[in-house]
Amino acid sequence: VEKIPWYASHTLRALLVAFVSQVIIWLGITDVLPTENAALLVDGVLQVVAIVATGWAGYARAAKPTPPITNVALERTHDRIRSDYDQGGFVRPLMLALMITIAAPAVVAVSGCQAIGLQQPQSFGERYAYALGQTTALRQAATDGLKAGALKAEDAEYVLTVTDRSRALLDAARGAFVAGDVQTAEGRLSLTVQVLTQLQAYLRSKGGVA
Amino acid sequence: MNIDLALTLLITLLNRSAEISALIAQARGEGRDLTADELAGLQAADDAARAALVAAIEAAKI
Repeated sequence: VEKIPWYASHTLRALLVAFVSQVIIWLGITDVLPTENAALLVDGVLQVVAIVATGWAGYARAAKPTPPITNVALERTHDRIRSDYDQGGFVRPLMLALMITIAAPAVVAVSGCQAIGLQQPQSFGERYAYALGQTTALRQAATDGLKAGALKAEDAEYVLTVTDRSRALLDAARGAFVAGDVQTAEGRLSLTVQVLTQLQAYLRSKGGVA
Repeated sequence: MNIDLALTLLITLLNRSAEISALIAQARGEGRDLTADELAGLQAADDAARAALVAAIEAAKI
């Protein structure tokens, strides 16, 4: 096993990007932007960059080779190889998967859109747009998962069926709203969001061979 | 449980939400709600995502 320079590490590069994004937000550098909306937008983008970079760091640590960076790590890696000690001192993949699939969405859900720099939906049109965006994202994730071999064809078909139903519900909700029946529109929208949330949990639980 | 799939889902949801948030911010900056054209654009993106998923399913079955 050979040592690599720190900047060749995917994990450290991603963490550096996340750290710099957070520092920029904390220092309030975006406050110099001409409008409040521009500052909010840039802050939001930086928050998303930080979250994605942190996710990438986790993925890189779990799925990519992990050569040592310091002499101490090099020594310990050699010790570990010699002792053939299973998993000692290393992140366990199942724990990482648990953190990603439960903790990360939970943090987003608990802290709300504003905390990660997203606009809070206020009008019916904005709630409709976010719900439609979730439908689209689920379809895109299922497509990517299927192409990567991480999702079975029958699971992708299930995602297609449920997202088709949620899209139909969304369009019905919008139709009711346009017709002036706000109560029915909000009810259908709320139902769609529940269906999509359950579908997200289903998709997160899936994996394996296509 | 599949880490790749979980990450893909999380990142895709965040990216899509960020795009819609930017659209909403722009509309609010102009003092208006989302227009029918903007919503139609989101619907077209969803239609395209559906078509891609259908194509991927058909390819996977071959």
